Amino acid sequence: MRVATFRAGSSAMTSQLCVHVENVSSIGPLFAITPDMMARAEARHPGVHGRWTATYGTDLDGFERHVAAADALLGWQFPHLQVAKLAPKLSWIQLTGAGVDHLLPLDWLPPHITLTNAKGAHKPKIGEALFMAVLMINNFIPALAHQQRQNRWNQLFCTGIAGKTLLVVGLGEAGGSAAALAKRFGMTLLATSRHARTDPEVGEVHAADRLHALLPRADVVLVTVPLTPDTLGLIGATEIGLMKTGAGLVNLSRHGVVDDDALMTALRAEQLSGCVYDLEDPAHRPFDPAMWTCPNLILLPHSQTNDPGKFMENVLDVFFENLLRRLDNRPLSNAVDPRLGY
Amino acid sequence: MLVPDALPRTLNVLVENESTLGPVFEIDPERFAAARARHAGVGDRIRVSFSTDCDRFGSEIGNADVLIGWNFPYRKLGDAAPRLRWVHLTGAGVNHLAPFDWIPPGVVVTNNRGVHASKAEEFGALAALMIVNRVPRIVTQQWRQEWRLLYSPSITGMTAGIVGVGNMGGAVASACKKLGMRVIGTRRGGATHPQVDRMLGPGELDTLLAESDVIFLCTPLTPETRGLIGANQFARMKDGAGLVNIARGAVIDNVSLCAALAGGRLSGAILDVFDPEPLPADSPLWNAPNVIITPHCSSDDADAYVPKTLDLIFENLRRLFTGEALVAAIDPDLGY
Repeated sequence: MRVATFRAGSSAMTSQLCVHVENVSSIGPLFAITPDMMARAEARHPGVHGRWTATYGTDLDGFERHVAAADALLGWQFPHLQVAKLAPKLSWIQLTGAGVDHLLPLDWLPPHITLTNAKGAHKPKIGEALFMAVLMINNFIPALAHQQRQNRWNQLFCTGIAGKTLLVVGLGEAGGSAAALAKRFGMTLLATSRHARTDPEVGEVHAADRLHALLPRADVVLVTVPLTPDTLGLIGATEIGLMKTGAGLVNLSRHGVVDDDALMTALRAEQLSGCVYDLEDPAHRPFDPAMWTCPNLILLPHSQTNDPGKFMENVLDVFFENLLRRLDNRPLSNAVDPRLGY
Repeated sequence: MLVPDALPRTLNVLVENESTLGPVFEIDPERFAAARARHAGVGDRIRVSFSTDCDRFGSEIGNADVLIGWNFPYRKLGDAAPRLRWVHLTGAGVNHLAPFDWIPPGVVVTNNRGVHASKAEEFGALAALMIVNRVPRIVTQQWRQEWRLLYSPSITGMTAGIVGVGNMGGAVASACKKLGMRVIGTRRGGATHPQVDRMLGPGELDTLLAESDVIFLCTPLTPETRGLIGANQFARMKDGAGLVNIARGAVIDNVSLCAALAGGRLSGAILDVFDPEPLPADSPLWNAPNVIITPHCSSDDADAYVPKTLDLIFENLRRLFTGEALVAAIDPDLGY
């Protein structure tokens, strides 16, 4: 877990830390943080009791006034480019999600503000959904669903998943929790990450630049890298071409990491046996409408990795754990590296 | 000591293949030879002949001590096969041969129970995860080109209800336990099972239906289970529960199923078996909302099905020679 040292400039702690909670109505009421939820979460973290206060706003109503007095900001979307100007006391921003691509590049982030994300809050749900997608690939569910649409009875028998190889591209919380389940069902695991290492759960973790050497070994490739300038178009025609014929792809990364045209070409040619692809709302992040009907492609509406009730509980646990660290002048967990963008 | 029905030194085995079942299920000479090599002591004492779609059945059955197959003129076996001691059926659900009044006296009939277990376990995990994650609904949305969030909780702690805990049901139970689910089940005798937290008798189906988030049908098709799941049973299921059928199509009343799916109270269904099969192209099930159809291919491993079948057969050949009781013998009265 990456940690960041709390900046000395703002460490002269007042007795109570002032938090502004900024909600966004467009992501839905299930994700709104209410004073009740904060109180329930605080009860799980008794060390912070009486040591913080909060203001609440939705869709920037009263944002400037509240943030001007805030030491910490808890939210997802806000006028980040103006934060340094609007919030002179601010030294910590806790995000309520994992991927920070909507805030990139992070050159707006002053050095005295630590940005933390909600990595880890998706467990165990995210691993279940991703392992399900891996099983769907092995059992030809994308192809069977496509045939079903044509009222076509055509048996597609598969071999068992035990002993097959899962490659996790971008091993993090998501891939790690899927890998744990995959291992329980007998799969062999491979992964890439920023740095090569040996992971107790996964085993071989290779540096990201080894991707091309690893792709030919995988039966299922699970893409879970964050979207950054480095990962834009990471999985294109070349990478798909390196995969085994008949292998399948699971994409949880944000739209843009996988080249959709190359993917659809490979699916139509049956070079890949299937794909399960998590996509965000096309009203906000448009995708090629051909993806709706592309053979052997199942689209997930960006909700299977997330149990909202439990997720928000977990997010607030991350927040209160960090609040306690902050109050005790310890390094925050889940700090985003502004240079790497995750 | 020589007894009148002592086994001959060598047994004649007739393998009857049905071509429409496809290569996954074909016991061809090559696969047979590989199994024979794995079971050396027994393999030396058999003579095998192969028939496809009964092309050599008529000429070979008269000499056969053992018949291996799925579909054949079973009603005539009593007259046509005077040496016959054992018939092995290469599938699990043998309802297509019921009632079993055709079995000649002294002949044992076995089925393929257990051969499906590892693949059924994998499919059980997949189906439970797809039901909980509302994938049948998601696929229906995709057909309509609708994008809508469909949230669901973690599968951990949810309840799987297995109707008919036999070999396949037990394998499904094992998968559900691996996913952290609570597992309840029904079976005829009500005997406990290591992977089932609470076993119910067949008379307690309503309790299972009311408590389960994911309901798996794994029963054989018998007069008792035909139409087991109808409108009353759908009404007992929890809001948001889902149904998985890997038993036989006729266990569910299709009209009630379509109504339940259209009603939207169920999360969805995953159907592997149908009545009849193949499912006719004009069946309303193909385009019913919130259903995923796997055309009877969920639990048969493409590579391992025949080798595992042959391992079961060679184990029983060994038992035949040593006089031990055969495994996987069906009870002709129960029909499985």
